[in-house]
Amino acid sequence: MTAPEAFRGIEIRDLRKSYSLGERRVEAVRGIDLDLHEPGLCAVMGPSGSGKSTLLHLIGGLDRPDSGTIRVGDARIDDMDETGLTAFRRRGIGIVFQQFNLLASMSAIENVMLPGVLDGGHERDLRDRAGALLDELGLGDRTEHRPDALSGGEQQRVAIARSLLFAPPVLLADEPTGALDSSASDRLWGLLDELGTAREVLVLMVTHEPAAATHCRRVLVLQDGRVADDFQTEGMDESELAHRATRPVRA
Amino acid sequence: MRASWHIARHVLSGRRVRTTLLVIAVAMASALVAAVATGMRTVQGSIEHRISRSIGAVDARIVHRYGSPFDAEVVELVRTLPGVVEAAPRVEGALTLARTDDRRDEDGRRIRLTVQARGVETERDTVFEQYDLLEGRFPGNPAEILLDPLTSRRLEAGVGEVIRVERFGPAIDLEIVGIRDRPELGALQKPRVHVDRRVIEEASGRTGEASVVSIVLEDGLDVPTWVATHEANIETPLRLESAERARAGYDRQVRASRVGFRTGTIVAFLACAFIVAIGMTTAIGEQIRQLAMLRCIGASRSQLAGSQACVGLAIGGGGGLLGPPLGVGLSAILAWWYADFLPGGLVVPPEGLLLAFLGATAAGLLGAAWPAWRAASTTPLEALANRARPVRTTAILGCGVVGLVLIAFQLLLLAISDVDLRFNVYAFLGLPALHVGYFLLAVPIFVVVSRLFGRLLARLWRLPPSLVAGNLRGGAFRLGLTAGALMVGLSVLVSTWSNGLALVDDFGERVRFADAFVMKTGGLGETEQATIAALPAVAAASPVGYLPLRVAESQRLGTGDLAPPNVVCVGFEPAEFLEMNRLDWIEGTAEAAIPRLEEGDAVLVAKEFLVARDLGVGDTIALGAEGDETTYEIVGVVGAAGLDMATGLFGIRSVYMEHAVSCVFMDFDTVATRYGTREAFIMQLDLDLPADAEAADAAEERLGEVLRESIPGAIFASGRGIKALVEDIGARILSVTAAVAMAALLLACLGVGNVVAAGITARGFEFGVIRAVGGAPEVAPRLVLAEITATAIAAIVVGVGLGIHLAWMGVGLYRDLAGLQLALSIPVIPTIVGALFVLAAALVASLPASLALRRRSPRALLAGGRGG
Repeated sequence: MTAPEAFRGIEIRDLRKSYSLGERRVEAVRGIDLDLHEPGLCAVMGPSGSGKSTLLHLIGGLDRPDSGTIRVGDARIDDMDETGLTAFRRRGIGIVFQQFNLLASMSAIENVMLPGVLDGGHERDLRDRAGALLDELGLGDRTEHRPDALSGGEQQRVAIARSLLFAPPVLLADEPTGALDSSASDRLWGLLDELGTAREVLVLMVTHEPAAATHCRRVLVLQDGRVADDFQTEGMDESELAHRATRPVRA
Repeated sequence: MRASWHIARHVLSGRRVRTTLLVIAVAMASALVAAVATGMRTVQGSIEHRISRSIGAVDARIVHRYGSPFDAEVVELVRTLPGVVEAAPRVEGALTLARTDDRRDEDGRRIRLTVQARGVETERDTVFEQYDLLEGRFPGNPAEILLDPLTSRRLEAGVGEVIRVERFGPAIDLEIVGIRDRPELGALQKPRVHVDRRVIEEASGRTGEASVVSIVLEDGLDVPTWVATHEANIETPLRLESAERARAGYDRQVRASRVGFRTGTIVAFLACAFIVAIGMTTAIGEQIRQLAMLRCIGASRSQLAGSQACVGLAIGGGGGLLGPPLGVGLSAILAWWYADFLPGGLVVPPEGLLLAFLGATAAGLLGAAWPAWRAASTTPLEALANRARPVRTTAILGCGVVGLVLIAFQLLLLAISDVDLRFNVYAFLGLPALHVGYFLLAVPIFVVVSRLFGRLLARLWRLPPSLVAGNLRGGAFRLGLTAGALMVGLSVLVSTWSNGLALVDDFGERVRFADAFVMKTGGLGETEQATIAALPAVAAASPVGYLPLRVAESQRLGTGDLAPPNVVCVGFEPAEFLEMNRLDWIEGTAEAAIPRLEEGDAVLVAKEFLVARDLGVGDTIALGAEGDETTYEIVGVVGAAGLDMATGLFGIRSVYMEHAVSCVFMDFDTVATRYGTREAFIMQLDLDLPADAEAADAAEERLGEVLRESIPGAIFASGRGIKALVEDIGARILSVTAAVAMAALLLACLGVGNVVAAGITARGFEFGVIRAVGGAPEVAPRLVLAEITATAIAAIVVGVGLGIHLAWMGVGLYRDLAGLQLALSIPVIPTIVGALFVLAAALVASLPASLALRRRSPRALLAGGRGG
């Protein structure tokens, strides 16, 4: 009898990334080391320009690091070629955007099926899987609706379903509630938390809101391209969490 | 591929109106090509039908090597040859027909008409089956005549009536027994009748002559073999040939017209490709966030590029499927309307329809090339970017450099020394490269125009200059390429008008001929020449012989299918002719040339020889039938298009005879000695006419009457009338050209409408912000109109540039193909009119979308989000 395989999330070593902003050279990420091997919600917080989004892009294979290694699940992505990264984005990770980014001409279920279509999957299988996901996310009766007929919260749930089609081990969310009202935001956080636990997915979420961080098990605070703080949230209330998340800034 | 198509399907269905507009634009071009192809084939089919009917059952014929009449006795020899079922001589001649009663026309003149008559042996003629009849029957004896509809109408005479052949001596009365089927084709058409050959002999006083001997062979006999076997029995200058040879000149014209058609097709589909390209490029800008999102969730570059190719394929293929039926339908309507002229009926060419479909599809794919590249280069991060990617200066410069390289490449092709190859490479490679080059060059030119006119446009549309400048800068590619698509119509207008005007001017310059001409089919004998010279009001008369001669192969003009192997040899009395005729001396002088011409071993040549083949004074030219060539030294290079024109209007010996593009001038006595004819085909007259135009017309009318009475069958033509006709034809050609250019402009406007609509959708968020921060509802539409004004100005600059370039290329082509040295001139007024049309059409095309933008609320605009 073999032991159950340990969950492999994200492993980062000495990650660096800089880019040009006009004539200025900005070092967005300055030697981050990170091990995230527990499923569930994890928040990335920090002031503007601290490198949150850059870190997310690098983990998502949307951008390439200057140096350092990134391992997501079983894949090492920092030295992948374009084809490898394309396949990784398709099956190895899920991304949820602030603005949902659904295709307006497609129905909810077609949007969810899209990564599978790009992967050359059979339409019937994809439709079944996409339908099941939408059902799981409470949109079983909205599958044929187009995005303009869905509320913001519903659209974001469709986007989450799309990111889960290939059941990736890691889901990245860039301010997923930024375009939602507070009650829709609350529901979404609950949903992400539930998904993290039930489906054993590491949900790495960039957020500015301490309230969102209360749903997370772990919080990373970035400042000036480095991890300024990294802590578990268990037992912390919102004000305590907000205080700790913003403390490096004061310092 | 399946994934690409999946994305493409949603791209297409998500923008139904604009997809439809693009498909319509492609379908229009495709329909145009299909209609022209079907129209050409239908007309060709009808001409072939008539040629076939004209040839009828005739398998072979005997003609004079130089087109002169010959002794009809040869028919007796032919009838003895094995395999001959029937052989009969035919003679061509002019007859003056009149009504037997005193009926007069609107001007009070007796109804009378000079017609071209074919004389046959009526008792044998039925076997030749050469006409379709509208009513009645063929003449069965020398007292009967068959008319064509034109003659019947002009004489106001029908079957059963009697008409009179007027001649020197007793008139000949003939009963009309039938009307043949022949369409009326306009002012230049000559009336034709069909009589027994004895009628022509009696009217002209010349017996025993034939213009052709027609031969019908036994069924199953191989005609070329039979001709090859027996041609030695026929003595020179006569020649035995297959009747199919009558098609040779026509077939050459068909091939030449196909070259023109294919070249036009390339330009039409290029214009189409530009429209698709700008439509799709704008749509790409609109979809960039979606494309980036697709990259985020795992779409590969090739899948995105493939999706755009699929969109282009669908638009091109859709247009290609819709266009041909529309084009054929249009042709069918025209064929039905002009059924009288098209006895062959509608002929649908499968290859033409295939070309229309494939061309449209290729245009779609070509138009999708840039959007596909742009889609493939989309990065996933663009889905997350908060700012639009600014237009990079290097990209604009790169676009301009590629454009210039393509233009330079096209110019390099001109260095190809072989004329045939140069023409084909120019048509199928250089022309597309040139258009694509200017299309790309439109982007940097738009930027320059924006810089120069930005402030003016801001003032014109009452907008803040910085707002206008920013928008123009941000839309460099979208609007620059739109200008590129808009330029095509204007460039067609400028180039064709420039070349057309130069042609007409050149012709007008060259057409300086005598006051009047007299012609008689079969020639004017020496007595008749003297009679003409003695007529009242004739100040001087100069006889001109006119016969086609074969020029040695190595010196032929033109290229490939466009090359006529013949020249027209003008026999003339040098001193008299040069005194009366106004030739343009390009090389040599009259004083030096006349003695040499009279010696008989020299000729003058038309300037086409000098231009096209660099043959000038001192060079030699070999003329004559195969095996009978004589070498002449060129002692002068002259322009004498007037004579070509005049003889062309009289109708040269055979309708389907190969056309010659130029003349050589040879001493009259030399022609008589070498080629056995002393007849004048034309007499040129200098007239003493009153200065008043009406009085001059009346004097010419009287002279014509006297001439017809003195020399039956002679035809009189006024030089002034011919010039007026030339000017009229020139004006009509230019009108047609302008109509084609305007159609191209309207086609481009569909593209502009599309781009404006797409641009507004893509920038809805920006317009929403302008409104949200206090911009009035009319600011955004005005901004769009300012952009379109700048676009139209750039289109005018590029269009005029391309037009001048094409006109310059046209000058080279005319020089290579026809030996014409045209002057390059810019048609100022048409260019201004065309430019204003471009501006107005672009603004009108953008109005609906601009007005719709005004009605949209800021909330609706902002809700659209940035970049879709």
